[in-house]
Amino acid sequence: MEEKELRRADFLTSLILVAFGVWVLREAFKMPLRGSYAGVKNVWYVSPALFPIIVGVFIILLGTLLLVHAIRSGGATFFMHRLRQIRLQKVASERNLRFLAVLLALGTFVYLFIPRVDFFLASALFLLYAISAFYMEDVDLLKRFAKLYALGSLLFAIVTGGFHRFLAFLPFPNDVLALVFLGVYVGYGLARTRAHGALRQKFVQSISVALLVPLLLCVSFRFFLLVPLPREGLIMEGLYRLYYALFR
Amino acid sequence: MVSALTNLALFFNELLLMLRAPFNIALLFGSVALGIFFGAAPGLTATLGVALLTTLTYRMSTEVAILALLGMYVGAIYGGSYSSILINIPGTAAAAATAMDGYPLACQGKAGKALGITTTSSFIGTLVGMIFVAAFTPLICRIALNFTSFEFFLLAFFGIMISGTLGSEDLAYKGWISGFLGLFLACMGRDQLQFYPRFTFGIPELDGGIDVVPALIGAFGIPQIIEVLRKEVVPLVFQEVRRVTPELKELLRHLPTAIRSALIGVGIGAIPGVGEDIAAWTAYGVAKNASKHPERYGKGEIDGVVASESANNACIGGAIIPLLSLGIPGSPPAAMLLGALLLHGVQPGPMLTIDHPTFIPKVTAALFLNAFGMFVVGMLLVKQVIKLLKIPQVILMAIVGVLCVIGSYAIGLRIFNLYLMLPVGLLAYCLTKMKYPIAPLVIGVILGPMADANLRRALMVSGGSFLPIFTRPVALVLFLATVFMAVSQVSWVKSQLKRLRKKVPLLSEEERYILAQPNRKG
Repeated sequence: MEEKELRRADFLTSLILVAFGVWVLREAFKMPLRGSYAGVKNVWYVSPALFPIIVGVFIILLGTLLLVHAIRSGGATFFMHRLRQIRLQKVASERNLRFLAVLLALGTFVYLFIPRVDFFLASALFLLYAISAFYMEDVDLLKRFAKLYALGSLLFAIVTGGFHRFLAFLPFPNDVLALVFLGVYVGYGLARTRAHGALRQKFVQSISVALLVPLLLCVSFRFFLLVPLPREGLIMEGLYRLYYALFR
Repeated sequence: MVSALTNLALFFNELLLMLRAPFNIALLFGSVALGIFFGAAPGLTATLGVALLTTLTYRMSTEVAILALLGMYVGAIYGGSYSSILINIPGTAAAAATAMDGYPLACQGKAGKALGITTTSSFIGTLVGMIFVAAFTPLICRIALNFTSFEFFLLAFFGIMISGTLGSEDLAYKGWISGFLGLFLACMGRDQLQFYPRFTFGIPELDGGIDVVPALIGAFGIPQIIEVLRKEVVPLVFQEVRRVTPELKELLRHLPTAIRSALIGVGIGAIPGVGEDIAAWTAYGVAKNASKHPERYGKGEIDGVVASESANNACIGGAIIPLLSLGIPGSPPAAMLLGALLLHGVQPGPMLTIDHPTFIPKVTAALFLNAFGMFVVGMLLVKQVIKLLKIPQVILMAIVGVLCVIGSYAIGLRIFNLYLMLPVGLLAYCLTKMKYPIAPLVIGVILGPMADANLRRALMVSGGSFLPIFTRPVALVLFLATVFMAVSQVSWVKSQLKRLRKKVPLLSEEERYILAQPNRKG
């Protein structure tokens, strides 16, 4: 970050920090400072509020110091100037787009797929999207893949959230949906890269990594380290059957 | 004397015990090789490597886990030199100083020689660090047994403040802010003394507080993933390596530099939160100042490579001393190591020598074996590691993303850990972008419970009085050092200190004029 940008960020951060420190103090003062809690008589110096109060005071103090420094070095002026100059074009720059695409990958992986889908499928979806979108070095493809992934995730969230009854006849409804999503993504990617040999090769590489790595992880964690996976469904069931057929 | 001999006997005993199992030997070489790869691959770091390996060592015995984790740590700090020398991109921050002279050497067709020098220097550095761990950790433990709760509170506070001051690239108080944010995260959950829920928002999963390992994985893993994926893919151009030789003769000529730099590395490593990068740069600067040919530095001077590599590997030993004796990590990977030790039921601190009398010899033996492991792997597997380095960074980072998730989950088998890991990672990413150091945040999360409980316990004993801070010598020293650190950042004090540092001229202008006269007498 450049000096000017840094001071602008400092100005905004210092305001957030001061507000955060005030909130910490407010919450801390709600904790028992006197009287008794759970049969223990309280005095201020053994109160659970003591340490959060110290932390809150220091955050406010340091936030104020940062604010003073930011104002002195022109951070406030840069910030106001920037606020007036904000254009949609700049907000939608390639770096920001990449950042949003990464957030989409991590956010959907952790909050949407991991709690609902078999770990193999959740990881395969994440890997396929993360590798294919960023490895191609093509902004147009990155945008297309990100849009498809966002749309697919949204549809998945809607169906599993509100219409799961319609899929109740399936053995692992969420996993089947994720498998369909994976299939659509693979089909779309192959169709998009059909005309470019180098891009097609990279997409095929993405598919192989997306399938091989989760398989290795599932097998090593579940069968060698004996660590249960966050969610075990369709694929893990298949792996269990294979394992018992081969080794038991 | 008797105690030293007993420790030596214990060290050899542990060494033999570790070497007896073939699995341990395989694990030693495997973790060192993995560490070298983590260090060499730009984007992957030693801390991240230790964090991810912690998950895999969960079911191992403590000594085997220590062997593997230290293997990763030693290998990664050494491995950073590969990419520094071969592609001029430091694999880890610790190897940035190595690139200054390592890459020019590679451009002169001496990549093999440079790698040989770094391998031998890192080996010497690790051994020097190990000697200091063996000699000083029990000593500091013994001194720290006299510490009361006030000292422990001030020690935790001092650790956060010094790591904030020294680790901050921009303003020192950005480091302190980072530390206090870490302390706030540590406040979450039920407090240790009265079990009162603090900042839990009614979420039962937060009652137990924030798990250290997922928070650390988030803080060190997520920013790396975002950082690499946000950038354009840059093709890496490797310099050719023909043969790597130990370069013992060459190193003997540079032995004083290696030893001096290793000592600097140990000293800097012992300062809480200050990592291998600062050790390497300081040693490099000292070597350049002490050299008869400072003009050769930056153009392929072997002394520069020796200085930075012996310092960063010696820093490992330095960082382990406060970790084991006081429970305060000396560097970010050591912070991760602390998380791993807690997971294995080992509570580092002054009681370590009493609770686990053989633990320090175990760590020393593991460091010794890892130094040898690193030397052997470094000499034999250079070409294979370079091949692995050619894997595109995007693919590596996506895989690291999955490893971060499974690693955070596997520690407590809680999906909630993942829900915390990602926000902590995003917070760490934003802070890094605005030049806030991450080490104080992590140290704050780790030392927060210690600072909180000890402060309240100390005040309980003193009946709410802060007077013991001024009557107990160690507490007073720690208090004054913390206050001095804070006050020294005030601009007026800063300028006064700068003025004091300027040398007072021994001769006046007039005297100098007289001495400069060519025909002066007497």
